[in-house]
Amino acid sequence: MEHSKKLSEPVAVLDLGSSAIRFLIGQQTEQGDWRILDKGENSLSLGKDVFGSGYISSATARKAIDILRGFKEVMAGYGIKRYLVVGTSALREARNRDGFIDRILINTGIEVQVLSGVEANQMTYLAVESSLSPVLPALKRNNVLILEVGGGSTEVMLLKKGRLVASEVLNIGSVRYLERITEEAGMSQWAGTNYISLQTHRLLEGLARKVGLKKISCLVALGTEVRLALEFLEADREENYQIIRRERFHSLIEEFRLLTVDEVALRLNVPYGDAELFLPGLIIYDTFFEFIKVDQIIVPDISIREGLLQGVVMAPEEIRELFREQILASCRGVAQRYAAGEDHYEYVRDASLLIYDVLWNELGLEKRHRLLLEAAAILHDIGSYISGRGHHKHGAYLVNNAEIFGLNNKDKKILAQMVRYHRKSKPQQNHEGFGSLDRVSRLTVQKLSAILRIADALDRSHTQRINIRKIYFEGRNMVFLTDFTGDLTLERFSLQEKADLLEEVFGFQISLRSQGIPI
Amino acid sequence: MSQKNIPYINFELSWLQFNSRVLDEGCRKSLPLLERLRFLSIAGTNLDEFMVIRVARLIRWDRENRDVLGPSGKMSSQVLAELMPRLRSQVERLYGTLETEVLPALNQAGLKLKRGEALKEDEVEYIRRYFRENLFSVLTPRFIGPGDLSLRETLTSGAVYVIFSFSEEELGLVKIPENLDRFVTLPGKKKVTLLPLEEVILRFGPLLWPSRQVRGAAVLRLSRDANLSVEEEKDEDFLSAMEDVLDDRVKGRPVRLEMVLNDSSEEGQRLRKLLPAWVDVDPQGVFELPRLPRLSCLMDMAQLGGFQGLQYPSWEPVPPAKYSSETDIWQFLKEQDLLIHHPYESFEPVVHFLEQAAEDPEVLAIKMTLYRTSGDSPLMRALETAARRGKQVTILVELKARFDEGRNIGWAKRLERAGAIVIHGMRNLKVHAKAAMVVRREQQGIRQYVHLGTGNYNDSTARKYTDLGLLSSRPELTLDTALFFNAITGHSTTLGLVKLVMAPLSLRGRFIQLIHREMDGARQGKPAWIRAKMNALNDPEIIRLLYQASEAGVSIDLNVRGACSLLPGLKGISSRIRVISIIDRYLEHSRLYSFCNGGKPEIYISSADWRTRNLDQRIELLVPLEGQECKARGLEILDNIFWDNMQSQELTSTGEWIPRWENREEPPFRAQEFFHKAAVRRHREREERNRRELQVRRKPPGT
Repeated sequence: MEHSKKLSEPVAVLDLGSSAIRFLIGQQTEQGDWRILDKGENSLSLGKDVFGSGYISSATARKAIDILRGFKEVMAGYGIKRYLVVGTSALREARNRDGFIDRILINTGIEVQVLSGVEANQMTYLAVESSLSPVLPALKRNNVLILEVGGGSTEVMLLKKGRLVASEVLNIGSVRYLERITEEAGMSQWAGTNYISLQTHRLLEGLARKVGLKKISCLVALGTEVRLALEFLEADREENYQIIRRERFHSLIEEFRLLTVDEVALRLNVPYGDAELFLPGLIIYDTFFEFIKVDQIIVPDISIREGLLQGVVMAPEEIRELFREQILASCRGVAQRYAAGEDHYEYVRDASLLIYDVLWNELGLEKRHRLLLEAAAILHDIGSYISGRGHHKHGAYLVNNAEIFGLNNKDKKILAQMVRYHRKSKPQQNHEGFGSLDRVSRLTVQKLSAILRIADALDRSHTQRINIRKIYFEGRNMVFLTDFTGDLTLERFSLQEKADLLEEVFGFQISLRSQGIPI
Repeated sequence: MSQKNIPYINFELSWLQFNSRVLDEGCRKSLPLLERLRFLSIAGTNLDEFMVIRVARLIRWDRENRDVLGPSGKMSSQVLAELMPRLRSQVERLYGTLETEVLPALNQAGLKLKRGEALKEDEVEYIRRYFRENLFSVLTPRFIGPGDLSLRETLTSGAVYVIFSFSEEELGLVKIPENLDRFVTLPGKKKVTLLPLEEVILRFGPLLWPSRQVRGAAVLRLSRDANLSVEEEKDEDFLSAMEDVLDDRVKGRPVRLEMVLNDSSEEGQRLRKLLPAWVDVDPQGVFELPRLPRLSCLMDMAQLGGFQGLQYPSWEPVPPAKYSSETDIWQFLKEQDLLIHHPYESFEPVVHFLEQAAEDPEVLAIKMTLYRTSGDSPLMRALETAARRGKQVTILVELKARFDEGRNIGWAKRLERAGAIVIHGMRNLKVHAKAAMVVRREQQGIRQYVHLGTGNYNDSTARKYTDLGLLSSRPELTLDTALFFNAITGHSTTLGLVKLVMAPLSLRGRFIQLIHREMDGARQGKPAWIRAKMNALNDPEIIRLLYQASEAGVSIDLNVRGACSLLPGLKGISSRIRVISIIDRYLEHSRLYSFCNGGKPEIYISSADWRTRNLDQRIELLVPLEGQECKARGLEILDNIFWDNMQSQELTSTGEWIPRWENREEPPFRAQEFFHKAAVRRHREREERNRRELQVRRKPPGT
């Protein structure tokens, strides 16, 4: 029998969350969707440890090892060779996370990767997209908010007419709050729930100011607590999701407020540890629901792990490609937020791509660089929001700290340096940000900034008057042919100034010619 | 209606009624003689178990001065007081029927069970030789001297002894070897004549103490409290903890003494008086029998060859329709589910399922629960083979399966040695669910196959118990089964089952919800009914709800083989509830639950009864039959079971059971016979079809 076909191989994902370790074993069908073969979860108080003391305790680490060994046993029963083990917010914040990860590796042979908030968002988005595919076209006509409340963080993604305009990871979560409430000795359950609701509201107001939460017509909610609550909500079942009503959800909270944790555990049929998180979790959801005021909420049958399955079978670059549209949309969302001139950055993007397309082979560039180039083109001027002076530096800072869907920290660091060097000084080893990059990344920054600088120079006037007809080579001379017949002095001057990097690093000369008229 | 005052029949008293129904079968003149004997044997064996578990507990409470209020509103002392006289009269009816009806009639028919004193001279010679040659070397005589109070400690629970008294304080004790046949066949041509071993020992046992003068003798049997208390906290080495308590069972507190004392001498009177005191059994626990303590021995007699006329005709299990031993089970299950009705349909496919899994190089893993199995189980051997071949074999062996603990410990050790992952049950819960899963690597990827059933993985009882088993590869069932195994093997604490329902987590809730749905339906004027079959019914919450449903307009048919605490037919309480019970040649063991659902019936099979212990203290599964064919078949089976009027009795509103074969208006219908004939007919039709279609066995041309 042949097993070499990629389709037929089961893969697994394990996720070290704030309150539990969960696993999922799936297999891709010929149609490309995932069939889930097995799954499970075991409580682990990572979040309690980390959000309380900042450290993962030794006992928790031991328990994690036991659980992971058990999961390995389950995986062995399916002959699993490829799997992905990730940690989310709790692990991300643990001060002893490297030691913890090493300990797990030594004891179980399992290598845990820490997933950034943005990567987590990406996986969640993948999962939601596949689960809601039948209704996706309809959803894409509206403004949709995707919300996943976790133990340590809450992921929010905003889609406007199918375009992802914001992707945020907020530091609110059921375990995190439970920890804080427990810390405040004597805080009654009532006071505790009010505290959660106030905190969430405060963050939501901030988010609303940042990305605008008006005119949202559809809410998609994921996460353990909302799924547990379904049973009590008389939800309408569709094939891959259920629909709940906001009012009913709200009144459910009033019911559960009156119960002790033991009673909650009994009603939900879950361990005490999960029951404890139920009400805090529900309140975070409820605060969102009430803030956004959508009457019906979609609860898909999936979690981030379904998205992660995709992550096992695809290389990171492939996944990034899959998200090209979403990543660019997210960049445009950031650019708009900082009032960057759309016509200009779109021009720069187009021009960058033209240059990329003639140079990629020469410069040894790959597809993923193309995407980074596009992203940098869109974002290159956002620093002007703060000040035109030194806007490349402000821009670098903003990119580094912006939530850009689909890009991890490393991507963002490269992107920030590209923005940093789109004008003025060339990359230098003794520049702090550039110097801290690894060699390959530094090279990437140099190559891509070189392109970006030229593309930006071509629209020095910010009027998009230079329409490039063609780019061709005369020996080492790279010629831009435009049908613009007016005065090219400004652009030529600018090019001269900004082609330095390309010339210096790659030995190309740049010429700008009007059609038929030699310089 | 509050929970406290619902009409509720005490469980022990109802159980006694069940055994009385078994006994009724032994009394029915219309049954073949050896089948009657078999029922008497079963009734006796049932009583043995009842005594050491249920009665022993009541007696223990009584001794500890604990008076426990039960759901029937009766205190445990009151139950014990009501129970013991009934139990005694049942024993009397049992032995009375045996002595005055069945044994004499068998004698007439050529099968004689002889008494020692009636032996002819040549027979005496024969057993003298038998004693010397076959018995003498295997007997272990024990002398109990003056001041030695060890008789109570010496007697093993349930074993039969012959005791001789030498002087006032000297006794000789011989245990009847359990590995020998209980009966010696005496020479003779016309008849088969059997003599129980105790009669041989009574006669020649004194030879074991040549220097002592025997003054009197008795046959006796002591039964001890068999309720075990194992330290549930000992997770790491639960296996050895269980071994410890099993040793204790042999030494549990005595609760019953059975004596045969055909001796009116002074010494006989003395023994009659002293024996109970020596073994410390209260007068209520002392039973003087005419002969033959431990009636399980009658089973051997009932199965004797050469008496076909006195036995039921043989009903050989047939392969399920569409299935044969040549079927490629994986291919078959890819195309359809297979619902098997045991024992009408054979257990072979289940054995094949595991044997093929063990042999198949593409099978990666096998998981299974084990509650009760046979001594030399082909299923266990298959698992052993699979483990040795490097497959991942995970088996949950329930070490707490009552009376099978020893055997299960044996299998647990054997499988562990073969390399299987053996889980020794769960703390405070017995794993009673019957589930198996095979993970197989195929061209399209991994595929899982499951077996979910109502009966144990026991090839031997699968020939005697009615059960249902479902083999399937439906993803929705296989995923749930995988989740179930994760839960019971400690890999997962949260389940998220979609199709299956598991006790103790959500089974009770689901049943309550299903009953409520019928009530709501009835109130809205929709058709509403519940039809269920189980081994016993005693959960107060379910019973109360059934009463409410009945009065809400839901018609409820219950088929409860054993004890039933619900009282049907009471005006204003249970007027729409009917309870019947079937006792026939096969032990009714399948559990089926069906709900009208507003005209779109749903049917489930389960390992659980509507008993509190099943719903709250055990791991059980409820499995929906959803494939069109399986569902229709399940509904049909459940429907037919209620038509039985030859082997069933009905519970009246006064708590009595009335045979349905008396005053019958409808034509006679025997459910078990119907199922047997239907299975045979389906099998024959298939054979017939196969004969007509010439099937050539060869590789496709050109390969």
